[in-house]
Amino acid sequence: MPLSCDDRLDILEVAARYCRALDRGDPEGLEAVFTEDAVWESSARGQRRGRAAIVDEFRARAAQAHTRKHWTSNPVIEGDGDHASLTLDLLVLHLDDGDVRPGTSGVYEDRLRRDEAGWRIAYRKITVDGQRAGFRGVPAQPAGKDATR
Amino acid sequence: MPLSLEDQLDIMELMARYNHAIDSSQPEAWADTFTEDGVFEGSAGKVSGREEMLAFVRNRDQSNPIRHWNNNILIDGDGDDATAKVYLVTFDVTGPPEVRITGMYHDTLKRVDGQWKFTHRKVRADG
Repeated sequence: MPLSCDDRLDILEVAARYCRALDRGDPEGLEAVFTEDAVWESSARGQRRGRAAIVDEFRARAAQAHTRKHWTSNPVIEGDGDHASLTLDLLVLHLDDGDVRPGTSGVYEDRLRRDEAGWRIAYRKITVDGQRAGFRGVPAQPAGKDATR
Repeated sequence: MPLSLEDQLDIMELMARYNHAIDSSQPEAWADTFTEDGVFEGSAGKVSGREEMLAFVRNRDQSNPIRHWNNNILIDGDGDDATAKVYLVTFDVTGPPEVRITGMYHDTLKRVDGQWKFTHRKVRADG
């Protein structure tokens, strides 16, 4: 079954909740956006397997909370039934001593799964710009999308 | 008939696909966001028709990787026709991102075979 508008908006909100949890230093908030078996993989920081390991990674960075703002743009969602993929551009603003500057940019490539807890991230790959040779972009139109959708 | 929620999400997604296509230099994917007779009007002039559009992306200066970002997307429309106004900021992401330009897109769109496409996209840089 194609994704509904509710699904698409819910998925965008999961992506927003991730940013908010990071920027507020909120481990419970972060926990809520990942499936238990989630994998998080960053071209800069390596791979973390399992929700507990992912949350630990960010607990270790709690001192950064409130000095970073994660912004995203250009979401493209594809999917069917209880599975979806999301491609999303990322920009991290650094807030230091009243000064704001763009620190990092890149792209998220996610896979999400829906279960009784709703849509959650099962796999998130972060490719920081300058290291993104493997990223081939997304097609101009979703595969198989037609007037019946 | 007013645009549905799905139409609005589809149009926003078209804008995202446009940005991904131009930023990863995919001429076909970029041209596919326009109708066959679509027109793009940028700082370097007008580009129209598929061949010119493919050439436009192939010939772009790619010395520095750029990311196009949109915000404040306003969509109006009815049936198979729509217009949109969208904020634009581009970043040079060779190193830590630096703002290159800011501006606004003025779009007209049409639904063709169930897919929304740009018939006209004009970018107006700020300043």
